[in-house]
Amino acid sequence: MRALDDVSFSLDRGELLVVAGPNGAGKTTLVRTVARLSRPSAGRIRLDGAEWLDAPADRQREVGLLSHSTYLYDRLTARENLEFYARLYRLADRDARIRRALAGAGALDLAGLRAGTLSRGQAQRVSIARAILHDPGLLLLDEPHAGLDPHSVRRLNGVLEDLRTDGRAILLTTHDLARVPESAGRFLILVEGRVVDAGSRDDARNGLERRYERAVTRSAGEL
Amino acid sequence: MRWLPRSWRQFWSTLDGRLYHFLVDVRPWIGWFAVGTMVFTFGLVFWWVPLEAVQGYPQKIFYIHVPSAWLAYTAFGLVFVASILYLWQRSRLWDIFARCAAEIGFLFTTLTLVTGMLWGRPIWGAFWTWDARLTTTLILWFIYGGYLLLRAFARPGADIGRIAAVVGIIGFLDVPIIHMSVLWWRTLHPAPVVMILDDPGGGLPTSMLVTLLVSLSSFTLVFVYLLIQRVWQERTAENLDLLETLLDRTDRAARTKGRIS
Amino acid sequence: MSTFAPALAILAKDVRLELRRVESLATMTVFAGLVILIFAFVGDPTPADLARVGPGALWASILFAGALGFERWFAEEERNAALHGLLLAPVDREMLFLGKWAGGTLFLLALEALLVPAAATLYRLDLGGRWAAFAALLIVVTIGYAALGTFFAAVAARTTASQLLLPVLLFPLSVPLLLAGIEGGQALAAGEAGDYRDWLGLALAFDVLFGTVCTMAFGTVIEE
Repeated sequence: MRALDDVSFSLDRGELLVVAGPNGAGKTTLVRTVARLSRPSAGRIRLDGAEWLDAPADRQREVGLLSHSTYLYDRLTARENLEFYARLYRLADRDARIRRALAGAGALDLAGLRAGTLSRGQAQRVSIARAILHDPGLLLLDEPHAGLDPHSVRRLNGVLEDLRTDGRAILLTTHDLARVPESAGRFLILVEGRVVDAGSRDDARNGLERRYERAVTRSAGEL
Repeated sequence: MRWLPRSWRQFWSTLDGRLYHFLVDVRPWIGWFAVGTMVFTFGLVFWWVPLEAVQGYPQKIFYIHVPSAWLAYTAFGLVFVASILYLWQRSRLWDIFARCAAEIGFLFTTLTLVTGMLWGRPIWGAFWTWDARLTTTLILWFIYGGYLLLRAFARPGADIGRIAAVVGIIGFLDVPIIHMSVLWWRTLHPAPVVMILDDPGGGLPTSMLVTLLVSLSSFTLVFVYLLIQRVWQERTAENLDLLETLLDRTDRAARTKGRIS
Repeated sequence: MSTFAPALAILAKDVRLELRRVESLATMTVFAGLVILIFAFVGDPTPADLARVGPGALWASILFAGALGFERWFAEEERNAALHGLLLAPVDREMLFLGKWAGGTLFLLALEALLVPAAATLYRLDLGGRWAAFAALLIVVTIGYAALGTFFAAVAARTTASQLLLPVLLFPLSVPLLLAGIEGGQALAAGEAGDYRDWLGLALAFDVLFGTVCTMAFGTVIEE
């Protein structure tokens, strides 16, 4: 069985691509494959023009990932977590980078708190700091809006906009198009591992949400 | 193994594919042949081969015990080889093969232990003695019992074949070291006061050797038959699963299309 | 040292996590102490019986407590899927294993620092002053056990019964180490230097073989 089939797209720096789809559409598989956490049985990915799937482990620093899980150690503070990742990534000038990442994710005030005591929204911000700590050119966000209140969603979208204008390529998945940042450039709609629709920013204004609803209902009918 | 020439890999996959189908086809003949030789073996054991002078009747279990032990070790060798081949080629067939070989190896190890104990009771006066070979076999039984439990308890979605392959390799590498350590453990102590038939075949009369070899062949046939049968079963079950999912999907798609149009 | 920086980062992180909850190491120590206590009931409390049972009691307590520990120490990486964070990093899988292995060895040695004096006192074990040689044996055996334990904790984590399966997988494979610990220690107490060296050599060979194999195979186990 294939989780993803015939999914093909490109993404430029400074661009935000939204992959929308219902649960089980293969969004997480897509993100994990691009992050090289799962190996596809077939297909290829190129990053900056070079084959990505067989690239050495060190090139992994070009990717940042925010997933459903925080990847944080509950008994360490936010700062200690980032310190660990900074050492794991062999970053120079760690303190400055940690501060910059925390500021970028709007999480400076959380630095001294233990990860286990953070609320969902707070943990999400620290996770974003973790994902951008090593300054990756490609940022992958798997359902970053899940479980966030409207205020946190606005805050997160602000952070994402800053990151995008910084020249990063961002891939974001969602099952709720209403929460997607205004600046999203392109959309893919993924259902059962296939791209069933694609659109640009202008489509978003008129009718993309309806098209998405239709695609999702159709797939729900199949289930 | 990307460095292998493409044609070489293709050669391999066709070979194991063809070999598999050939073996599945001849499977019933192997089965019946195994039954025939097994009957013949028991004929030899009970009516032809002379009674052993010292041990008498209990010694006859030797003709079951030794082939079982031999096949148990062979089975785990096969698990080792199939595990390496699976990690190398990632072909489902090798994963299934490793698992089935482990099951049958576990079965024959159990048989070895049970027949050994039944034999030990009249000869040594005890079901069990902590002799090096017995102890190693018992540890082996635990290792492959653990291997099978690992596969049984796999978390849904985990690629357990790959992990089991690693365990199958490590377990096999450990067996000689375990045997050596257990041997030292026994010899560095006062030697156990037991009589063991060391080196069967060496001092064995011809009639006994012939019976042993015939028994070994018939057990090997049973082993081969069981292995092919189990691999075929598992593979068929997997194919059925796949087919079911595919059919389900097509069916759903067809129904929805009907409703929308 | 910079090649090993990621492994050291993991080690430092694990030490910090462990110090944040000393209770867990303390509980393991108490558990191991109980194993030592239970073994006292195996024979009569005569000096001869005690000396016979003592080494087994010590190593059994290390074996059992170790299995508990390896499971817990690996579970740290499973919470919040931190393991994925490690896999995502630009670090070779071998480094991840070296880091976890070093941590397991260190914690187990810390535990043994308490258990060995306890067992020696309670069972009146006398090594005739050859403590340095015993420490060498202890360290070599612990390194090997931590390699297997860390590796199989990762294997067991892929099942629905990791706490149950880890000892089932780990103990049979650790028999050579267990025997090296018990027999090597007894050879030392009896002043049989040759036998002691044999057992130490066996444990060393075990460390080298399985340290290498586990380090190389770790990636295969933790990747998805």
